Amino acid sequence: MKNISLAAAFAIVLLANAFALIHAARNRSGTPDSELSLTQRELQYIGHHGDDENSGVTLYLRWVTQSENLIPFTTAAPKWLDRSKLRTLGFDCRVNPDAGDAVRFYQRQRPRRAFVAFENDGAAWQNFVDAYQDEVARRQQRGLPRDDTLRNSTHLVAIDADLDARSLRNRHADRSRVMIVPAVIAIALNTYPGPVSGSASANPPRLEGRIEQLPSEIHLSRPLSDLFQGGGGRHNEITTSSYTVRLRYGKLLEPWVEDIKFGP
Amino acid sequence: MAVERQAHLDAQLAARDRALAQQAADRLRMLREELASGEVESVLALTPDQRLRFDEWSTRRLAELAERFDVDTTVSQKRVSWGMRIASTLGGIAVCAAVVLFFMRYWGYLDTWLQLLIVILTPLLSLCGAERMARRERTRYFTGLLALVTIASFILNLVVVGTIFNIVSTENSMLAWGALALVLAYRYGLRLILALGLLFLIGYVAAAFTARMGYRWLEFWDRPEQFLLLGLLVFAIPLLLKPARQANFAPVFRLVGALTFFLAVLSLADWGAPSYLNWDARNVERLYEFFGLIASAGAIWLGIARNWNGLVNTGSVFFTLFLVTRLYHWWWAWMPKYLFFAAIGALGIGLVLVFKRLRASMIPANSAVTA
Repeated sequence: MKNISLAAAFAIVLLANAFALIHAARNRSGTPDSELSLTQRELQYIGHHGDDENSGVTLYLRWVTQSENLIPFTTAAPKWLDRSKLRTLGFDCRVNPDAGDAVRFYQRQRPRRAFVAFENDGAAWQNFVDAYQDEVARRQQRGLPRDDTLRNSTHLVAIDADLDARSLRNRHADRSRVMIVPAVIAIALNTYPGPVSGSASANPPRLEGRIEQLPSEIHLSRPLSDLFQGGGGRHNEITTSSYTVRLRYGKLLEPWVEDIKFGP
Repeated sequence: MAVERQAHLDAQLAARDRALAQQAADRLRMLREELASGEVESVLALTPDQRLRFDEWSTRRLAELAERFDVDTTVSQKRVSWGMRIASTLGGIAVCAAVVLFFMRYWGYLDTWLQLLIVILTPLLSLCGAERMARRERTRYFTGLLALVTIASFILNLVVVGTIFNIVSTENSMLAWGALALVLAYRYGLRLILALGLLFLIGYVAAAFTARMGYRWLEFWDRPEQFLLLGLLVFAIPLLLKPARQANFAPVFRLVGALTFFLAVLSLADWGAPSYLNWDARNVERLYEFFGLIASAGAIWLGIARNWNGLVNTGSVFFTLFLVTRLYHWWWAWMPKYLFFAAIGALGIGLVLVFKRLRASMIPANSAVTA
């Protein structure tokens, strides 16, 4: 039996690992693209119990967008992700939203890769809070119950997107407050954008973009993961604790946790 | 002269793989059984001396084949071998699951350098184990099991490295997995590993194309026409390239290619919206339904013409699926249900009669006279 194929098999395993490790080293080399201090609101530890089959520790990135209806769900369509922005992201928007074949035309368009900028506890969050509190006040005047959603909400807000990460960084240069993350953006035709009290004619169909997916699971290695290890009672203690995480994004826009401090 | 001819045959056989040796043993076993039957004896009467020499030669020949290639020489052995293949495959899958789950259970308590060391060494050690077993056994049951473990641990390897460093996943991992599977398949003559490798590489090509177009690579299944073309390409590889050492790999290429092709057509026949064709979804579905019917009928014809049993079976299954799907769309909504199933049954009977006629027309003329 010739040994060339055996050598090839070994080489494939070793080369694949070499590529991956070199990639990781390149990402972490030099000046990071961003370094943010996030709290348990933005990087949530879901935790696992003693009988979990996976002992790895993962933090989950939580973020919001400000949509027209002020629903702080991550799948909501940001106001700034409109038709003109979608066009710059490579979507074909030539058919008018109120055209007869618009629904089928836009349904066929697949989500596209892009880069999204998130701002932590900045002007976007403050605008969000102000608008939300105005809405809450209006609801209270109508006799609706008080809403406390914002109290534990993440302060990380999606503010912009672009096909080119460098252009996005040029527009948002504050590396201590804005992080740029690879994401997937989808186009959708909202045939009845609302608000609920409006009429259909006052609210014509509108093109919207949705941030569908981004790498939101951040693995923690030892020794930092030791801070979260533990089951039973310790599990509840950890998941309700306050902590601050120093998160870095490298040159290749992949994150790692530099430090964690427990406490308010 | 006979000795020289036998030596030449032996050299030919030794140069090929175990599958051909098994075919030779099967033919010889069936010949012995036929000669022993009373019906053949009435037509082909061997003298006692000829019979004795044939029995001695065939017994010796089967023993040689069993000795050299570890082939099955009886029907019972074949059944046991099938059981061993199934057991080794299932055992391999279970061992893979155990390795992965064991690692996931305890990796969080290990330092990064140790995690990396374990995940990189595991596929290399499995590979060493597979190589060692391949040099010791001819039947390759344990070799196949360890090759499967090598693939699974390599998958775990790259996934864990990506998780540790929060690397954004790309389609390139599938290229590495597929390449390793192909190398192992050709080195050890493992058809299951070959099929796995082909599936990885089909997935990689589709994912790479999807990523280059600016979409998320994980949605490579979103446009089934990609798999239509890739399936055809894989199917055609044995026709375009000369067979290498492993002569029994061609059916695997054909099966993987045909399944990929027909599953893509079936998915578009069921739901036409993801098609590249910018038509109404219903029209796309109808197009692919009829295309599927024609293509599967063509596969049956090609399989019969080329004596490719696997292709005949695959074509038959999908022909039935496409036909039933089409009839369902035509009749289910308005036809009484009992009548629908009666019509399907009648159609099935009709197909059996057609195939029976087709089969009769294939019987050579002189044997038809005696029948």
